[in-house]
Amino acid sequence: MFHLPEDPRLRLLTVLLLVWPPLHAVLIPALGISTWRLGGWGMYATPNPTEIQVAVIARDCVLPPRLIDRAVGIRGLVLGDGSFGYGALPVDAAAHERARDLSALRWEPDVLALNARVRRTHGLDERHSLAIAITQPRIRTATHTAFGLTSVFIVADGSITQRDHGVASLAYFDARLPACDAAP
Amino acid sequence: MNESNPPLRALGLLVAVKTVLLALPLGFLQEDAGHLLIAGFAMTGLIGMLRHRAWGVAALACALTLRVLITLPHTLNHAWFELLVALVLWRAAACPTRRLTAQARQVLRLAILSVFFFSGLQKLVHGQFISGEYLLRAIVFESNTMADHLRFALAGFQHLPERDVHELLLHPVVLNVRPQLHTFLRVLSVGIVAAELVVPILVVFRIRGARWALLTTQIGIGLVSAEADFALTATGLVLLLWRVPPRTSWVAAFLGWTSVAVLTAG
Repeated sequence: MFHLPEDPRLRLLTVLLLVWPPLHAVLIPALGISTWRLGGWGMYATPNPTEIQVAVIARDCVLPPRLIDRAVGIRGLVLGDGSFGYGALPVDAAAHERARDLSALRWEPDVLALNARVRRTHGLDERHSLAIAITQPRIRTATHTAFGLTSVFIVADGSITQRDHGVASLAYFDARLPACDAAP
Repeated sequence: MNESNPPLRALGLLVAVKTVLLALPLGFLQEDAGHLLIAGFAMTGLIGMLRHRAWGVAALACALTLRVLITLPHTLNHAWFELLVALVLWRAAACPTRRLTAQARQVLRLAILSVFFFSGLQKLVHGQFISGEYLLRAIVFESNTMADHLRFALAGFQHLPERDVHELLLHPVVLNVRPQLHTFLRVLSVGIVAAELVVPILVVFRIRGARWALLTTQIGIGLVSAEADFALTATGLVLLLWRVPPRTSWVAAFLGWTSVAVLTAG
């Protein structure tokens, strides 16, 4: 049978081993933290934060032509009522690392840090609105339909002006970047 | 470390060699001082442990502590686990009496059983793994060694091209998945979770063959996940379930998982 070790340090490590994993299983999801983090044994139970994808979206009129030419992935996305044309900014590896913080510990300032980095990299004015979309892929196994669990943040003037989260594509989020004539 | 506990020393050497092999290329390729420092500590640990010195294990514990610190807050659970293993080894090496060695081995056995049981429990509770979704998602959307490995291994069922997750920003995507592939993934997932939950309990109750079942489960999971790095440590810990694991088993574990790592990387 198992006995607690007599050595106090080994005993401490044993108590940690006995107490933390079950606590981790209950606490970590409730706090919105990835099960891959903080030393419980929840690996593979939920998506690895590295699977999370980030897109930064701006109106075409906001983007310099060179960025429109280089835009990747979802350039030309037409949202909602079809009246808005958008381009996507490339998000570099370091910025992607920043965004992953969200899935480790959900600190909103990281969205702002990501916003600041993207603006600095591409020389974008602080006053123009950017949409930052963070998507975690999921699959409905009954229908084999893949969808995104997406959080959208609209950021302007160094603060988050609008946010939305949900099981939907970006096209159906009630998040709208200002029209071109409203932009400074 | 004292000569009287060769299995603990073998485990320490295994973890130290692995840490050096992983951290050194990362340090050089990415010009990352942190990983170079980790490799330096682990190499010091390796030399110390070869000479049966307690400071060798202390250096290994320093390497793994540093790895946890520089990866915060993204530190993977695997890294925390290996730090715990190193701390237990350190305690046993610092005061190598027969009683403390036995206690340290008991803690390490508990640690590996805890990893199996609670990772099975979390997979059951969160539901994404046991439904087959996790592995299917890996095949469709991920670009890493596990996904590549699964795509290659399951090509006989169906070849699913890798998709860009950015597509999901625009609209849901219907995947053309054959029912046979989904059924296989589901059976595989349920089998993994069942083994993780049941086999550690069988080991605790000393059911005949349970240790071999745990070793087989460990090797199977390591092959499915293609995560040779952690599989090496975990296999070393499973070997501690035997009172005196044969020396060849440590060599086989090292060579086996190194080969898997090389083949997967290739």
